[in-house]
Amino acid sequence: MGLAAAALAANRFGLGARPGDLDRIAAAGARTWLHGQLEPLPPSPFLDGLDGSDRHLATLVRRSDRARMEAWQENMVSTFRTEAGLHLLDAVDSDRPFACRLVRFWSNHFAITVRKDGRLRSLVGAYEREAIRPHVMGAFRALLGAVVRHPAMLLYLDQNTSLGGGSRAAARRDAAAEGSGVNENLARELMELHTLGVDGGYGQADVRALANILTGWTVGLKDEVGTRFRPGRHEPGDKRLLGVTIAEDGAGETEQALDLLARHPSTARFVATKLCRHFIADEPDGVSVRAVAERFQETGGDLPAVYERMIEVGLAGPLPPKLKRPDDLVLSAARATGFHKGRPAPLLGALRRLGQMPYQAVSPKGYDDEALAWAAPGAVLDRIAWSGEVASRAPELGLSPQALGVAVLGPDLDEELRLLLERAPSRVEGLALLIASPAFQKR
Amino acid sequence: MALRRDVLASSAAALGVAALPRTLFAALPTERRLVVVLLRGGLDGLAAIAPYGDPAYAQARGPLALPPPGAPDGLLDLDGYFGLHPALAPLLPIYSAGELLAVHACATPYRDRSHFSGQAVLESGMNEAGAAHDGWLGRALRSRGGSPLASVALAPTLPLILRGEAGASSVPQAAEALGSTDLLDAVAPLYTRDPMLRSAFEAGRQTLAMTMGDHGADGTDGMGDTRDPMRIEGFATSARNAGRLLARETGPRVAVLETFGWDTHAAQGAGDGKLARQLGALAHGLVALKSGLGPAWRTTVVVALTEFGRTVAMNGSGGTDHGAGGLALLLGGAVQGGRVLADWPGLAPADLHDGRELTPTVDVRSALKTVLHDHLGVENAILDEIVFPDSRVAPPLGRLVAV
Repeated sequence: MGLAAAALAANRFGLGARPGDLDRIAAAGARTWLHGQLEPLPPSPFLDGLDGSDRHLATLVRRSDRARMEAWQENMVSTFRTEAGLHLLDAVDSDRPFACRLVRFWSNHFAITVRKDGRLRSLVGAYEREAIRPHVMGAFRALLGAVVRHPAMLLYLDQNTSLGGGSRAAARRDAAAEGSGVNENLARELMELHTLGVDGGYGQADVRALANILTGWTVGLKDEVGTRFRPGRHEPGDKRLLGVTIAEDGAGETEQALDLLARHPSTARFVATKLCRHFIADEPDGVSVRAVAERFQETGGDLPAVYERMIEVGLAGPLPPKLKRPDDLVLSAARATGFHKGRPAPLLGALRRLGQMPYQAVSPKGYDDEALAWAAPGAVLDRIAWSGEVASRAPELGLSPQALGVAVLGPDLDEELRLLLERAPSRVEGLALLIASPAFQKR
Repeated sequence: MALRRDVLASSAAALGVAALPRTLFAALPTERRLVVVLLRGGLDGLAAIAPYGDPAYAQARGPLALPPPGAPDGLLDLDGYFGLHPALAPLLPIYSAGELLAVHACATPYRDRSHFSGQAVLESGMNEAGAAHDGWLGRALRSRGGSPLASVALAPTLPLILRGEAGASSVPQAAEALGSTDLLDAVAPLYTRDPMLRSAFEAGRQTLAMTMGDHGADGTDGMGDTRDPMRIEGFATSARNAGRLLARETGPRVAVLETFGWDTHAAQGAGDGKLARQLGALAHGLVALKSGLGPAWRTTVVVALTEFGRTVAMNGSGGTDHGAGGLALLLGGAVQGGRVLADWPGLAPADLHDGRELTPTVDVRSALKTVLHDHLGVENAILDEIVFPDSRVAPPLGRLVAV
């Protein structure tokens, strides 16, 4: 029983077991092990000391400067590879994999994709470290505020160029030629994807109101580097959002709006649903979602309390199997076998092949969680083919494939797979079979 | 080359392909092919095919308006009223051959402005997002006795449009790696007893066998080279590969391709710029699809669809926001094209939906029902009740496809 709960904690809530992990978790108790991770994340040997977004912003050059553009782009690509690689190594090495999963969950919830704008390549790593990581063990409202005001998000969802139609800056321009001035992108995704959810009870008028509330937020790229609120670009007047009047107050309007969104019951339900879908089941049951949403409401979005309720729900009963997403598959294979040999390149190569490169979802919706999205016939075969390559590159661990299977899957290693591993003609073939097996591909 | 071909042939045998009866590949009882191209993000139809003859066009679009045909960098005239974006020039010969039909100012029943709900409605064929977990194309294929091998997605995930009881396949990216390993045989006993992964595993193996056949047949790069098919830059490769799969006598009859990057909130550009590059890549890809199909182009309908259009006026960032009326393109040897089909609503301020968007006047389901009936033989009652429930308000359009 202790090992079964340990396997659930390590695989379902964590990033997969390393040899020896299951015994350690069982000794501590699965619940204690998970609760013990609900503290702010300690400094990371991989991530500390990396350049912040301000520094990266200061190096951005104007698109028109072609000569400098090429060198700068090259530099940015290498920054991206470095950052993405270190974030992966940090996860592989982590002793707090559940906390790591939560960072990755929120980074995907508030997804930024570098596909849209090359300039984001140098910023996404810093975005995760500055806006997400410090707040995953705090209040949802603080997390939301940090995300919305981060320069990477402002650039990504076009807030940087949104201009209040009645603002002083608009009055100085030819309003007709510039269009209405307001860009709705951030406002819409903020409600649909980050807080209320698409059926959360807002309409086009609310999108417009929130877009107007957000006008003025910009990103200084040269002199005043970083996020700035410029009152001259802000739409004057009171706004009406979700039936509430937001009195004219410049940047303060954004605080009021975020308060409103963060405490809205739709947000509690939406966040609870996403957490449960990620950790519990592709189609989470209403009872689980309600339990987690209630905790969110009761505590005003205190995230550790919300996670605790989710752990209770998850450890209480048997869970239907979830297919690992490619990133979880790659990270768990690395934790089990060390196939990457301490280097980021094999991890990034694997994620590129399996279709889940860090920070490269095709839209602000982020990467999907459900098996339906990852179990297309071609994709299933690609995962198996990749497993074969992992096995051929993995270092000798001193464990037979069968023993490794027991060590990382615990009681989830069934008799059929155990026999197959026992009969495998070589260590590499046995290891390939283990990683490719449905038991390892799921959690 | 001979050596590699041998290796591939023997690995295909190792997969057990030779032993499979030919009827397993009987995709659909038809020689006709259908390709659906999903343009995700909300294509600006007014940019792709511009109504330069609308007296309100230039004023309404402002800096996004393109010069009329004949002017430098101007539109390419289609019918004296509509003009093709110059970046879509590779499609002009197809239009002139009567094989390209544009359905303008069209839309699904969805009128809110979420990409993700808009795509769910477009792909599920339902009146609202979340009403079904399968897609209209999946249901239509089921009605024609389709098997998982009847249709294929050139995408790493199976799009909603193809999901359903009939099943569908997708192409592995790592065909080469899989060709030289017997790992698939080794794991087969585990997968064929796994309820979650069994059907995907089996469909994947059979599609793999088919794509390996492609290698053997012409000794070219084949299907192994589908790097990042989601990116518009990789679209031409995916499209050509899809065409080649469909061209095979025993291959699938239906393919779905996805492209991303149509969400032009900022710096959209007019004659050149971000959207022009997207359109150019789309045109290039559609031409590659035609070349991959070869003679099978004659019996093919390609439908390019997007979840909604965009605002008529430019926003403050040189882009456009989400808006109702969009554009669908039909092309292929089986299309009765060479025209723009539109009940044009006009771009004057009073004519716009919510005062800001192209008013939809055609239900995109009308065009799709016609294609499914006239081209693939799906019965009308099934179209109205199963494929597109509650779509009687969207009558078939007629005369889109050569029957």
